[in-house]
Parts: sequence; C-alpha cells; structure tokens
Amino acid sequence: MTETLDIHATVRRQSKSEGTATWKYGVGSGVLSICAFALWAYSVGLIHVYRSGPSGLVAELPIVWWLALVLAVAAVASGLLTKAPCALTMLAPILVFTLVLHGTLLAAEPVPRFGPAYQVAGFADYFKTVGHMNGRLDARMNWFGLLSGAGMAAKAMGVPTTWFLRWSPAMFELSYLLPIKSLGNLYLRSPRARWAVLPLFLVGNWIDQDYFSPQAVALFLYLVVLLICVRTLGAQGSRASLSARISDLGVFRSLAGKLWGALGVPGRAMPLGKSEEVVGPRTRGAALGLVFLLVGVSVASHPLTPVVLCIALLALAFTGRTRLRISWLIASLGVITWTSWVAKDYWIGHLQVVFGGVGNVGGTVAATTSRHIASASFGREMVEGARLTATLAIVLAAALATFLLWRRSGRSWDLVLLAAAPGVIGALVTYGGEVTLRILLFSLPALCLLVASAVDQGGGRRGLILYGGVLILLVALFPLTRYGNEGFETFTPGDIAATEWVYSHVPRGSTILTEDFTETLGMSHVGYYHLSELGPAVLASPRVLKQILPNGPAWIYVTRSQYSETTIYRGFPGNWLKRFEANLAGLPSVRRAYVNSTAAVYYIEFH
Amino acid sequence: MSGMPFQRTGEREHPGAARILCSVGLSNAVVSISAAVFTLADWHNAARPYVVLVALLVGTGWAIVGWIDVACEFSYLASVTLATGLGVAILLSICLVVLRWWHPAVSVGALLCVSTASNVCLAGRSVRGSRGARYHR
Repeated sequence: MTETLDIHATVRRQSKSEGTATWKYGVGSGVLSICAFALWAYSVGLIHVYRSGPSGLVAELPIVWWLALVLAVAAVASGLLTKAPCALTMLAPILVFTLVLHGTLLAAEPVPRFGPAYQVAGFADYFKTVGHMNGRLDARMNWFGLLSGAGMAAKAMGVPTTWFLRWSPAMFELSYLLPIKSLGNLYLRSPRARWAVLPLFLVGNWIDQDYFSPQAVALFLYLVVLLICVRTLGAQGSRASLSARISDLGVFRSLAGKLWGALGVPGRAMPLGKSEEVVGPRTRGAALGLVFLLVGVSVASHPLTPVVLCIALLALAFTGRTRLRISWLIASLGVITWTSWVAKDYWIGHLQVVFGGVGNVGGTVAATTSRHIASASFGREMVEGARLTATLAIVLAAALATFLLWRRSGRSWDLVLLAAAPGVIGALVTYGGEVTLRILLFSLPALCLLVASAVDQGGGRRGLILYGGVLILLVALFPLTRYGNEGFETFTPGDIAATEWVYSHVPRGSTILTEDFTETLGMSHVGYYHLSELGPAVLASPRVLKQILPNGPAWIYVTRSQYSETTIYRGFPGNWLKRFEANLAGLPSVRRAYVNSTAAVYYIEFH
Repeated sequence: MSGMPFQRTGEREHPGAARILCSVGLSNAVVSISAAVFTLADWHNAARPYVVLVALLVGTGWAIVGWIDVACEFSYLASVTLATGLGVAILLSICLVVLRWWHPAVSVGALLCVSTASNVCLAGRSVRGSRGARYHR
C-alpha cells in the first residue's frame, strides 16, 4: 500500500514538473514569437526590394530581419523542446516562422510579385467577365477549374481577380501545414516529431510555386486526397497487398535477408503509423464521394498534379495502405476523360512537346538544372548552388532518417514511396524544363515527414542532430533559395500604372510588342491585344530594328522588370534598355506615348 | 492543431464536443448568411471579400463535412473542410461554364443559402446530441 502511494506521489511530482516545464517553454516560445514578429514588422519597412541584384534580396536584408529570423527559429526550437509540444506552445511560433520566411517579400513589395501570377489573375478575370472557356487564347485555359472558380469568387466578393495575388503564398503555405500535420499525426509517434515536420516543410519549400496558381491549389488538394485515402479509407497492414505478396516470395525473402543483414537492419520491421479509423460503410461512402470530388476538381484545374496523384495512389495501393485500391484508376480515367474532352485542342498536335522527353530522365534533369545554372554571374551561381544544396540536404537527410528508423525496427515504405513516386513523371514529361522542381514540390511533404521521424521516440541524439542540422542549414540557405529571384520577379507601381494606361488608351485588337510575355499586361483584358515578343531583337542596331518593327500601327511596352529579368537572368548587356530607347528615339515613325519612372509605352505609326 | 481527438461519432457521450460543434455550425451559418446577403444585394463594403471567401471555403465545406461522422482531430477536419469548400466552389463554377449559364453572384448566393441551411441543421443536430447526453446521464 505504501509502495502504491509512493508510485502515485512520484507520478504526480513528475507530471507536475513536466507541466511546469511545458508552461515555461510555452511562455518562452510565446515571448520569442512576439519579439520576432515585432522585429520582422519593423524590418520589412527597411527592405529595398528594387535594389536586389543577381543574388536576390539576400544582400538587402537588414540586420533586424536576420535577428527576427533567429528569434523565430528560437521560438520554434523552444516550442519543440517541451516533452509534448501542443497547439498552445507551437501555434504562435509556427505562424511567426511562416510570416518571417514566406511573408517578407509579400510585405516588403509595394505591388504583388511574379508575372505568371498576373497571368493567372488575367485568365480568371476573363472568366469573370466573359464566363466561357477559350482554349485557343492560352493552353492553360484548357484546365480552367481554378480560373473559373476564382473568377466566380471575385465576382461574388466584389473585387478584381488581382485581389488574390498579394497574400496567396503565405496563405497557401499555411493551408499545406494542415494536411501535413494530419499526416504527421498518422505516421509519426511522438508529438514532438509531429510538430517538427511543419517548420521543416516551411523552410524546405523554396520552390516558389505557392503563388496564386492552379498548381498551388492542386498541391493542397493532392495532399488532402492522400490524407483521406490513408486515414478514413486507410487499410494498414493488409496482407493481401501486392508488396506483402512480393515480400513473401521465397526468392525475395532470401535476397532481402542477405541485403538487410549486410546493412544491419531488421528483416521484419513494424510499419510506421497508426492503424486505420474504424468507420462505418456510410462514412466510407461519404469519404469516397469527397475523393471523387477533389480528384475531379484537381483534374479540371491542373494538367500535371492529377498524373502525380495517380502515381502516388498506385503506390499506396501497392503497399496496401488504402482500402481504395482502384483510386489510381479513377484518377487516371478522370485525366484521360478531361484531356480527351475539354483539353483536346491543346494536346492534338502537341504530343511531341508533352511527351518528347519520355525515357530521357537524365536529359530532362540536366535541362532543368543547366537552364538555371547557365547564367554567367556569380550571384546567380550562388543562388542555384544554394538550391541544389538545399535539395540534396533534404533528400539525403530523409534517406538517412529512413535508415535510422529502420534500424530501430520501424519502417515507412508508404512515405518512401510517396517521396519517390513523383519522380516517375521525370521519365514522362519535361514540363517546360521545370519538371525537377515539380517533382521536388510533390515529394517534399513525404521527405519532411521522413526527416521528422528521426526525432521520433527512441530516435536518440543522432536523430535530433540530423533534424537540427538540416533545419539550420535550410534556414541559413533560405534567403538565397527563396529570395534569389527577387531581382527580376518584382514589379513596380509604375509597371502597373503603364499597364492600366494601355488598357484605357490602346484600342482593342492592337498589336503590342514586349520583350517578354510574362508581364503585368496579362493581368486583365485577356484576348484584347495581339501580344508579340521582341526577345533579343531589342539588342539590334537601329537599321535592323527598323526592319524588324512592324509597319505600324503598333505599340511597344517597356518596363524596369523586363530590364532586370533580361540582364540578371538571361545575360543581356547592362545598357541594352538605354540603347534600345535611344534607337527608338532615332526612328521617325516611333513616338513615346506614355512614360513614368519605371515604364514607357511607344507608338509605331505607318512609315 | 493539438492532435487531441474528439469523437464526433460518439458526441452523445461528450456534451463538450457537441457544444463546440454547435458553435461551429452556428458561426458558419452566420458567416454564410451574411455572405449571401452581401453577394445577392451586391453590397460593397470592406468586410465583403473576406466574409464571402470564408463562407465559400469554410461554411460550404463544413456544410458537407459536418454530416460525415469521422473520428478525427482539428488538422484533419480543417484540411477536409477547406478542400471540400474549395472543391464545391470550383465544381459550381465549372458547371456554370459548361452549361453556359454564367451568373456567378446569383449562383454563389444560392450556394451560400443552402450552406446556411445545412449549417443550421448541423448546429441543431449537435444541440439534440448534447441534450440526449444530459438526459442519459
């Protein structure tokens, strides 16, 4: 009886001391978060985004911003140091961490950034005003789910579609955290590991695909579909799975036994993650309906995401993690139906463009990396080097964490397959030379979950060092990896003013020549003008330029952002804009119709 | 996002959870009906964009997900609710485009009215569940 009382007293004392420690760390992380937020809010006023050079914004970040970043990391670390982190201790640090990392550009820039985001807003505006699809205007119109949805919402909200642009990246980042946290709750054992995955994802996602775009929405839907499939429709440990049948084969067992022995890992490891929820057939039916809805919307919104989703669902069916074994088939049928019905205008005649890189994985990856590294300046090389380092770091850390987990008799083939499955699309499409970035984007949640498993219970010091090392490395590289394109992805209020001048003064049906299509010109009035790209013609001599320019009437639209993009990213000479403007001034048929501090519009008359 | 589960299937045994669900249903109903009024009356004010956006994503999502009895935690419920709201809004817009009946304000207003009704029913169901729990105790 006395022993029982002693045990009770010890447990009470222990829980009381743990509670006090949690309270202390909670207050600590809260105070650090408030300080970090205050410093960050002050620092964004000191950032001059238009002074960014080839290495991006990193050289322009004031010391106060760095201090805010250090405090935000300290707040997250303080929250994670508690034995059982909870929403009370982690919510504020995660919010501030998101704001510091992904909100800096949005708060520091006077107008929303990134040309493709303006184009998406333009397509949405087309739906808002016209209300029907025209795939001949642009290939992206064929996957109009988000575009029509945004147009409809903007009309109901009483705002222009550009309203969505400014804070979309931070909002998307926060929305991704919800399904990732839920996947963490399912796959990771300790509360610390479940929370640790979130800062890692935030700092690992430098890929810049979270702007207002179909792929940003589709990534969220992708994560939620996977979540429903492994949770409400989950079926962990099913012996009928294909992977279980293969692993039971005699040949495989003897080969695997030798290999596992050589690696020093157990042959029979426990699967990571909780068992499925016990739900009735009605709930399963409703969940199936939701999967249908989300897959359908994803298919209608983005060409690439549903393909990756098919591969990921096939991987889950292979491991027997989901009851919905034919989900990949449903998604595949959806993709084929949409492509054959709505998007046929695009793929007929473009098969070589879409599937030209089939089987040429090395060429596709090399094209993606060399395209970015080809730029000559040291600043650009530094940015691209930082991105490669960050990518390699997280992939290697995930591999090492998987190995550590396996040695502790845990396995996570679902996560490994979810991380590897998007790589299959690298063998299928080039996606305009961006496929490697997209693979990383889709793999990142699973990679982060794998790295976070290193801090799971029993992970030991090595696991903590691995997680902490990767997190600190990624935080240190983040200003280069994420803000590295700032020099040529910003727009000025002058650019927007010139665009609005064009909308109000240039007649519908006119030809407008620009250096590059990815401009604010597309933010509205889609299909009003014949846009023509000048490209390297801006470097031509006055005599050649006269021959190149159309015999009026036409307009030329020149901005500071075009100048930055061409000089920093495409290696144009630093004086091209002055020379081009001087050359235009020398042509009698060209006159300047509009000018402000960062943009000009020229009119070409008949000559 | 604490990961603390509250068993929605067994809400009769948890009047606290039923109260939370009732509050969620009523809040969503208020936001949805406000957004419907703003949209249908074309009443421009500073709050309208935010109210309509929240109503479309959260109100509509919860109006469907609230009926599905899954035992889950906040992050799961929030993910599925947001995705469902987004999915329904996009599906509605696709239908309008395909049917060549582009009346976004009226359609969104009607959707929000339906979502209000569903959220009120959900709140009522939670209240009944909570009263049932008190009676059984």
